[in-house]
Amino acid sequence: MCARRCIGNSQPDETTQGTTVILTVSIADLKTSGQRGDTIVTHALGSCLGITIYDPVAAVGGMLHAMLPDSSIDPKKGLESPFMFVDTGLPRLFKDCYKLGADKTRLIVKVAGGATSKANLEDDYFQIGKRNFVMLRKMLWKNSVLLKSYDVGGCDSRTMSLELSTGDVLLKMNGAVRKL
Amino acid sequence: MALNVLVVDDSAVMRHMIIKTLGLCGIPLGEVHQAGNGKEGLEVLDRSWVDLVLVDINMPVMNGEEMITKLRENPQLKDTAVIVVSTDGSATRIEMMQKKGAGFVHKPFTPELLRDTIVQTTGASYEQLAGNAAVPGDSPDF
Amino acid sequence: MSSWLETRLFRATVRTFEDLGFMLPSSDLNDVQKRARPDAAVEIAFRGIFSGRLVLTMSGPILAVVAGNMLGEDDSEMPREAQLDALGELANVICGNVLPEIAGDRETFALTPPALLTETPGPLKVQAGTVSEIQVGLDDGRAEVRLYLEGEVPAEARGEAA
Repeated sequence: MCARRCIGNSQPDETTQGTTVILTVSIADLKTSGQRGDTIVTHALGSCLGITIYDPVAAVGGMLHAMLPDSSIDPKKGLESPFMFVDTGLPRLFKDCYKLGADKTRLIVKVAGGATSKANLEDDYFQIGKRNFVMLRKMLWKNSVLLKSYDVGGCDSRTMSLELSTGDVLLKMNGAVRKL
Repeated sequence: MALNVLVVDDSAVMRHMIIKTLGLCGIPLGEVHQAGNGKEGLEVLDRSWVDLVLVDINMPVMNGEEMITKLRENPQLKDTAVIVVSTDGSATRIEMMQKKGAGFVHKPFTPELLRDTIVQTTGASYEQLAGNAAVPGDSPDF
Repeated sequence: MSSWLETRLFRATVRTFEDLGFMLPSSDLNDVQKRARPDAAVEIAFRGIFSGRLVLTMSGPILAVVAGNMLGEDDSEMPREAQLDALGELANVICGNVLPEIAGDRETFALTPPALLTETPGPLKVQAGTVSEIQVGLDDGRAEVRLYLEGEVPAEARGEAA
């Protein structure tokens, strides 16, 4: 069985750079992999959250790009597009990695995004980015999982990648790259 | 070696939050004791070996500050690791606690912040956390 | 009332519900939140450079939700005792956070343990001393925080120019 799973929309989402396979996570999308040479990446994280989980022993990981916190605003949409919402996408991220051999007690969880488009935070009436992060923290706490690290809020768009060989999560913001 | 812990807070919900976070720190835990005020906390320390005390400040009967003072006066307990977990954000109070050799976590805290302070205080290596950021069990969603 | 004081009370309330209760309060209330009936109220008294008390009232079916969130457990099985304990702790944290914002972080205050009120507070009446009140929407309910100050209260808190 191939350990790589590409779940989500039908857009072209897999490219090769040398021996590295890049799996691109679109908006409202999820990718998981158990191949050490793979890199999972998502672009243009604004108020959306990019959530990565990684098991360093099994070298299995995944990334969710969720747009909204709670599927209760449209339960039908939650069923049709579970990766759109944090509350429906997060369980799938974990469960799909379990299927590839990940163990919950070893998983390293990191998150980025949750920004606002408003220069003044008080003008952000809907606070989607903040709501996404609060929903994520609530679900992790309920399921006895802590975040290893996070970079959320602010006004800038982020690109996030997860390298399956090392578990490194890289963040690109305003042209600068740093490890999360 | 497993760490014996005492959590002193007059709120049972807060004690539960702290104990749950302890379980997610990746530190091997031994006995976990609870007390509702400083006096009860000292009674636990009198009869049990405890490696780490997490204590609130504002509590009925005996507050956390008095409890820490008494603990530091006791030759057998004076070197016990202490973390104050309190709503009191006064810089004066924090400095007082630090002079008594206690770490400080301000409420409201995120579980991650509390974990980082516990790990720093107990000297557990950060790598230990990586493999133990979660606990298995009957979690509702995943 | 002083908007300076309200801003600080609002900030401490939002941060407390966000970090401890895993809920994001809103400043604008919808009709359901406005109509929610008072469920429980708790009071914390404090003493320091000035003295006073803080009252937190929760309305609607949200106390079980907040307590469930804090404990990381299913709110449908949340005992009333745990709900009221959570209410007291939330009030304690809001109070402990707003006082240094008003008095500066060098001042220390002694806080009493939370005391459950047998009757939820009525409408705010003008009375002696400085009073401030804010309310926030939370799911299908709301939280109201009222702060009473007496003694050497900073001019900004009294609504006067500093």
